[in-house]
Amino acid sequence: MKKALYSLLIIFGPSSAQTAYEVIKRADEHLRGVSNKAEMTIEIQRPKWTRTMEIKAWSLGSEYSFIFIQAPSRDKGSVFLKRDKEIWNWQPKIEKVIKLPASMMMQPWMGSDLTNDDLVKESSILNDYTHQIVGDTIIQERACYSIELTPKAEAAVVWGLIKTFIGKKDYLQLGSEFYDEDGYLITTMEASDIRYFGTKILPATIVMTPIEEKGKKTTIHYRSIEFNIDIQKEFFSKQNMKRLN
Amino acid sequence: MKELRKFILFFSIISSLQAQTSLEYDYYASNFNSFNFLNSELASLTQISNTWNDQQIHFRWNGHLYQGKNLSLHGSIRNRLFAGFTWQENLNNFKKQLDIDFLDLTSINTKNLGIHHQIDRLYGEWEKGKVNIRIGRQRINWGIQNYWNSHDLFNQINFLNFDYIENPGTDAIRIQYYQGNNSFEIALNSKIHAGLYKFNLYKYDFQILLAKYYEDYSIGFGWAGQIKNAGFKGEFNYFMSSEETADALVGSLSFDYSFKNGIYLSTGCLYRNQVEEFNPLSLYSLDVSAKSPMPFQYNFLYQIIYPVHPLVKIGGALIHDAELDIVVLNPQLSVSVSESLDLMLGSQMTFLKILDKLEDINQIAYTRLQWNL
Repeated sequence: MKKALYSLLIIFGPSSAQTAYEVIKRADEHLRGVSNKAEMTIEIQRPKWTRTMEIKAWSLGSEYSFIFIQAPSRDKGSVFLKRDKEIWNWQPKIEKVIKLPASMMMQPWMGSDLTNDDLVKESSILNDYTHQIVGDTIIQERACYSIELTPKAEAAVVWGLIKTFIGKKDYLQLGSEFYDEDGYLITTMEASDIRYFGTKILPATIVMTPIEEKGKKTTIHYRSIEFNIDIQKEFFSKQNMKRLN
Repeated sequence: MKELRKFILFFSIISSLQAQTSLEYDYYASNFNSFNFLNSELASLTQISNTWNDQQIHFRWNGHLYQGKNLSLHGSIRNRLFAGFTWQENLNNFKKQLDIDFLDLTSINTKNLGIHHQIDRLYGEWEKGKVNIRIGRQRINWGIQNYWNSHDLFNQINFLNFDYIENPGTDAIRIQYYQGNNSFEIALNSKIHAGLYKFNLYKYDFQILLAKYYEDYSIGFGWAGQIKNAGFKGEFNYFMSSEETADALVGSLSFDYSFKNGIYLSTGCLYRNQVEEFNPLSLYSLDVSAKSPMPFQYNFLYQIIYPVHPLVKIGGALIHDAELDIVVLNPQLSVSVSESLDLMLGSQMTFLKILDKLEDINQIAYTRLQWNL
C-alpha cells in the first residue's frame, strides 16, 4: 500500500510540488506580510523550572530581520541582525558586534525548543526545501493541506523532514511536525488562540513540544504584530543595531 | 584630563538648555570570591603566604540621559567592596593600581576593608543620520578576532583577566560615518590617532586600520567570515617604529564551530615577531597592549563549551606558548540559578617550565554570583 502511495506521489510529483510550493508561499506571505514588527513573550517550560524571554522583532521579507531582547535583564539590549545569509550579534555589555558562523544558528536558543535559526528565519522554508502535498486533514475545525518539506541537498538546515498543516481557507499554519535525518519525530508545533491583529487573522499562541521529553514545551505568545510597516532594507544595518529599543 | 572636565561642563550647559529629557538606567551586582594557592617555593621567595582568599562585592550602574533626538550622555559607575588578603597586604601594589585619576575615589580604606568607586564611562554622544560623534570616556573595541586583538589600540584586554566585561573605557574623541553596512571612523586621544574602515564583501566583514600609535605608525587588516559553516576570523597589524626599535608584526587567527547539540569549539593562535624576555613574576600584572596582547612569540588557545543542561554549561580553555614555557588551564561551570541570578564556578591553573620541568606555580579557584536587576 505504502509503495503504491509513493508511486502515485512520484507520478504526480511535479504538479503537486508546485501546488504545495504555492500554499507554503501564501502561508509564509500571510505570516510575514511585506514587512512586520512583532513583540513576543517566549516561555520555556520544563518539569522543574521555567524561564521567560521577551523580544521585539522586525522583518522585511525573508532576507532581513532584527531581534531585540527585552528580557531577561541579563541579555537585555542584545540584538541579532540578519541580512540575507549573514548574522551579527550586538552585545551591549562589551559594546561589540560579533559576526556569527552559520553553525551557531543550529543551536537551541537560550535553552528553548527553538533554534537560533527559527528566530531569525535564516533558512527559508521556501528556498531550502522541496514541497509536496500528501493529503488533507482537519485541525481546530479548519480544513488543512498536509504538506511535506524535504531539505535540498545543499541546504544547511536543522531538520530532515517537516510535515506542516496549512488552512485551506485562510492559509494559517496551524501545526507542524519536525523530524530528524533518521525520520524520528522530534518536535511538534501547534498554533492556537486565533485572533485578529489589525486586519489580519493569526494565531497568537504557538506551542513547540519535544516528543520524547515529558513536561517540556516552549510557548510563543504574540503581544502585538504590525504588518507592512514603513521600513526599507537600509533599516537593517549595524548602525541601527545599537539604536534599537 | 582637562579636556574631559571641559567636556563635562560643556555638556551640562547644553543639557540644561535642552528640553525632552529622558533617563534610562540599568544595574547589576555580583559577588566574587577567589581562593589562591601559590607555589610554596615561589611564596617563600617572595615572602608572602602561599594560600589566601579574596572577596569582592561589585555594583555597577549604567545611565543614559537622552536630550531630544540627537544628543545623549552616558555614564557608568563601578563600585567595589574589597576584603581579604590582596587588600590587607596591598599585593602587587593593588591600591595604587585602583587610583587612576579624578574620576575614581576610595571612600573607605581600613586595614581589612576598602570601598572604591570609579566612573569608567562618561561620554556625550551626538548622532544624526549617518554620523555619530562621541566625546569622553568610552570603550572603543576594534578587535574582530575572537581572543587576541592587535586592532584594539584603545581598549586592549588581558585574556587572563576575569573581568573582561568590566574593562574600563578610554578618554577619546570618536567620529563614525556609516554607509549602509560599511563604515569609516576615526578615534583620537593624546597618544593614539587612528582610522578604521569596515566593509562587507563576499559575505565577509573586512577592516583596514591606519594609526599613529604612541611612537609607531601602524597598518592593519582583519576579517570575519566562514569556511563552510565554521567561523574564520583574522587580525593583523604591522607597527613601524619611528625610533630605533624594530618593526613589529602582530597577527592572530581563530576558528569556531557549534554543533547541533550545543557543543561550541573554538581555537585560535597569536603570532608576534618581536618579543621581550618573559618575566614569570609579571604574569598577573601583565602590561598588555595592541602590540603585545600576550608575552610570547607563538600563543595558542583551545576552548570548549558544553551545555550539559539548558541552565548549566561546562567548559574550559587551554592556553599555551609554542615551547610550552607556560600552560594555563581555565575550567568553568556556569549555572542559571533563576531568571535574574547566575552562578559561575571556575579555576585558573598556571604551569611554568622551570629547569625543563613544568611546575604548578599558581591555582586560583573562584565563585561569582551575579544578580541582574
